[in-house]
Amino acid sequence: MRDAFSDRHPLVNLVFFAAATGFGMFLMQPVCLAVAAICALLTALFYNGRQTAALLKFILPAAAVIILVNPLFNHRGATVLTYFPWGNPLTLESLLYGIASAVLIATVALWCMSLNRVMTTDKIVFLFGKVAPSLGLLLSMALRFVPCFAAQFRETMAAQRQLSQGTGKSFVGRVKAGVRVFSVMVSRSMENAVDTSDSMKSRGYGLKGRTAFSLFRFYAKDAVLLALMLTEAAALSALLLCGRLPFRYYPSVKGAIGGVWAFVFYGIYAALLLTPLLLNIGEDVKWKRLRSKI
Amino acid sequence: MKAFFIKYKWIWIGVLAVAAGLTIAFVTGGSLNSAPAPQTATIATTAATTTAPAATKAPAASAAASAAQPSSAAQPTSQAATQPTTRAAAASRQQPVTVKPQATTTAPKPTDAYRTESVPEGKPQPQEPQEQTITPEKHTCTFSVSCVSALAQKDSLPDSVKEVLPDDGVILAPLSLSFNEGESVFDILARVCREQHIHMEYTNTPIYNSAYIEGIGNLYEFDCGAGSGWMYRVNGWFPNYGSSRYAVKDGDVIEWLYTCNLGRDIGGDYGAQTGE
Repeated sequence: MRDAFSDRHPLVNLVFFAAATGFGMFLMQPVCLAVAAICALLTALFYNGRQTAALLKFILPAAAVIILVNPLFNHRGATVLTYFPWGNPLTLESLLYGIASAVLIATVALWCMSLNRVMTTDKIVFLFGKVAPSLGLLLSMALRFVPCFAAQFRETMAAQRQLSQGTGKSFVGRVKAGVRVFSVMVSRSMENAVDTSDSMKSRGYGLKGRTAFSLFRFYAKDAVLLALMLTEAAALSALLLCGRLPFRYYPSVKGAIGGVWAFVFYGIYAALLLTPLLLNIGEDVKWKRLRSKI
Repeated sequence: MKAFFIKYKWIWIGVLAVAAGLTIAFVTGGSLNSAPAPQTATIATTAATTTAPAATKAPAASAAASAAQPSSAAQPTSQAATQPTTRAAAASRQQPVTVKPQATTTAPKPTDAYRTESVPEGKPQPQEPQEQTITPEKHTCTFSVSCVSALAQKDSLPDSVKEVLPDDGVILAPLSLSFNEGESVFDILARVCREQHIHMEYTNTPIYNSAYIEGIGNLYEFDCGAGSGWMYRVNGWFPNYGSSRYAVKDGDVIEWLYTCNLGRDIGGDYGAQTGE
């Protein structure tokens, strides 16, 4: 993926996703949730296009399960709506909390989807290669594992189908074929992992004094962007720690939605989360303007 | 790469400073809100409550208790295996510090399969809720719910707890009500809370064959520190078994009291055992 945000230094990308998922995981305030959910959805649509729908097919049922399950196990809350057959109350607050946590989890999943697109293996190895070589390699291998596994699975499946025509008709035959392909894939992916680590070792990966070539350079605008994002994150943390955005679900839903500080917070939060999209829009505007001058 | 880190070291320093600031703020913020440290090690798990008091009261007995633990862990359902644990805990309560593990044979033995030690003379024995039949015969009792003990530390509590504390600490003023023969304290609590629109949450604990009251009126266990929770008192006595096993009699005075310190602050000093 090449775009105005992905082309920035990997450190900038990492800091952005750390901030987005970090704040996304802890802010349960409804307006913040809405802001984060919309920004995450827009960013995911920008980076994944139609594939976002495939992810939403998994996320939305999971969110529904969370909404249903929370009131079953959590009975706190001042507003008792009705009682379960076993005697514990169903409260309005536990329902609202369930909805909030469902939105929260969906948001973080959407961020992770964009992260997968932006933080490619080379960026991860570049960032962690020197500081923690084995962690960097492990991360890059883990992130690469699932798509790689799926591709090789299809490959093996096709080869097996070609080898044993006809067994794929009956249910038992199909299960047998599936199990065989799976067992092939287990040994294949283990072999891949061993191969990768052997290969990296033989190249001297992680040794002292070894240099690595990379195309990433830290430009002045990367520094500006990084400083801006860190300032925004620090401002948000400061506002949170000073209690400018108090919000709680139990025992009753109470907290600040409006007010000057709340709107300052929403503004900074939205600016932080929209960084990738704003960068790209800026780039497009610049491109159009330059082209119209030709 | 190395030059990169040196050149932009202010970035790393800044990130580390922000992280350190957040950590410190989080840690101090957490300790400012929390209540004073509890006197016992843990009441988090009901299974551990039998040995918890022994561990803090007498070092000698705590050694005995921990020595007895593996055997009870190996066969938790066997009555014989659970005896040493409860015996050591009981002995440490009666004769602290000087007691030797061998001397614990004189301690009272558990009387039933639900880890209940012997009930004092003249107090009602536990009645298993499964064996109770509710008859139409009507009686009256007095019932109240109070959290006066939590008011003492009201200022140090978080807002979410302050909100549910009544000013006078009375969640339900003494109420005279009629009940059917065979109902337990828990049955009456559940019924009254529904009738009076008071929130109440419980869980069933099969190991004690009773309901465990987690919160009444949104005031929950652990809300006022690790030693806090709900206890019940009938006619001035804190029963040493769960509320589902206490069959209410005519004229009983039932009180549900909130404790902040395992019952010591309300006069029901059974350690962690009666935190029902």
